[in-house]
Amino acid sequence: MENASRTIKLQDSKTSSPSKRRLLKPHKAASLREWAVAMAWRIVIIAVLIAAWETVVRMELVNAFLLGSPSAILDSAIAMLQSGQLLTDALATVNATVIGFVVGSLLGSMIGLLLWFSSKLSRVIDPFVVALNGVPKIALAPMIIIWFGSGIFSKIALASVATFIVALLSAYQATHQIDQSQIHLMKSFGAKRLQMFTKIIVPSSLPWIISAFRINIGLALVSVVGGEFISSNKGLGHMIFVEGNLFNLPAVWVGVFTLMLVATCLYTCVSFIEKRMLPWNENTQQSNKSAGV
Amino acid sequence: MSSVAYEITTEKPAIQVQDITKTFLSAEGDDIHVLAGITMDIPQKEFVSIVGPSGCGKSTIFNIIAGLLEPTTGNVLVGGDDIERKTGHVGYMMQRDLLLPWRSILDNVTLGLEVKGLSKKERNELAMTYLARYGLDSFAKSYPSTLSGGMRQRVALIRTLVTQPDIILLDEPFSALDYQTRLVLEDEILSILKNEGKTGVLITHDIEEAISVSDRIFVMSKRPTYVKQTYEVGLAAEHGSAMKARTDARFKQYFETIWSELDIQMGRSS
Repeated sequence: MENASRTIKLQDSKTSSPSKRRLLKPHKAASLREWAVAMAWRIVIIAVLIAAWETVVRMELVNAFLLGSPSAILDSAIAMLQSGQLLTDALATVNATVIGFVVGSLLGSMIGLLLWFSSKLSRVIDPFVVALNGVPKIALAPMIIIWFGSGIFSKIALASVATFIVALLSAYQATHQIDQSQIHLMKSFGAKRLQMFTKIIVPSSLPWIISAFRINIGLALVSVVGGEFISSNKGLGHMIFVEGNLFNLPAVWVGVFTLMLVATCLYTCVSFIEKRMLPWNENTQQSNKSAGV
Repeated sequence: MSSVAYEITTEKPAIQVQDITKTFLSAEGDDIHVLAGITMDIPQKEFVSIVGPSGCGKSTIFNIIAGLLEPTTGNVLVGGDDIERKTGHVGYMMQRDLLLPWRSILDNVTLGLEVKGLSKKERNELAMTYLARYGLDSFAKSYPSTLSGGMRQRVALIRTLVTQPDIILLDEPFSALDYQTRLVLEDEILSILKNEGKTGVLITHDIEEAISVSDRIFVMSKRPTYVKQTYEVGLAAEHGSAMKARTDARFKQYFETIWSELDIQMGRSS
């Protein structure tokens, strides 16, 4: 017995790093079970919360007018689905978020990467970028709405601005994480700057850039909804704002839950893309798992 | 200039380091003399080591020979020509393998060939030839993260070899490996370099390693650095193996001589 445990210990310390991958396989079944257990608990929690909510409202322990009730929310949701309003609003928000996210993130990442070519330029503009990053982007909404109108373009512009700066900063910082020895190695092959950029700088910056995407998808949604609060004619933010003013709390709740659903879906999509783009990156595999989706 | 150069020997040294000095400016604006006139002739196809106390500027010498750093005064000639500020005349092997995690072993090996503009077919063929020659062809499709440290260093050497440099600089390539792997790899890499007819320059702080593999050892002084002593060892060449060189009676003598030469003071780390 004692002998056996000693052997295992030896193997452990010797093969720790290369065998990490192989160790994962037998754990797969166990981790699937863990996931199922967690999922079951989540469903239980949601069911208990809904039941408790409905009960306190029915027993008139709290005012249904101020809180809404699960049954009223469900009724409201069904009505909004049937009229098509919910789908129209959700689509408007999702479209603006996705377009703004893609435009802002891609432009920002590209410019951030290209700044690698000119350390002089990046030194000059560095404080500006930091200052812009510090501004809550929603503060720009009134101006952007004046420029782009109250339609979808102003929402796209808001989401683009919000995501642009974060993408630029993380791409730029990523290019500075690169090992000097790696650059020396490329120089020893006689590599030109463009070759270094395409073969080393861009691929090794990708994990940073893509992890900024996860932050950015959330930022884009916040900006779009914020913009819709201020001035719009459709979208989930618009719907929540209008129904809130009418004290129609069940409809507000429908909007909030739909936003949750949209946020989760968008985040999952970005995580999925990340996993597909960086199959060699163990970090992303792990963080996807810990995100639990 | 170069036409007047050494005509006495038929074969020019692979590398001539001619009275190189290097002065850095410290943060306080003072001059720091790192290299105080280094002169070395490294003959063709020899395997030489540069040993010295830590902080003696070994890496500075390395970077100057590689053309990554300009000396304050002095010249480096490779094959009789001044390297000036050029790079690309030497191959590299460093402490870390620097394999790119997003590329397969094959694609890592072809990195230098890609830079040099070979077609995909040419570079894959060449890389596979080398991988097969050193028994790594079955890993061609694997990713670096699945390989052990020793394997990764072998791949790093092959990545350098496929670009066919005449000179390979090795900057403590074994120091991150465990002892057994290190002994095996020292032997292996020495025989690979001899087999391929390369000139090797090893920078190390490991005196035993230097004695076991080198044809010649340059012992450096403390900063400001100069060549304190040169030893023509050649034990590995005599025995045909770095491992066997360690069993030679002269091995211990060399060790003691070089150790006292380095004048390493206990309890005082620099």
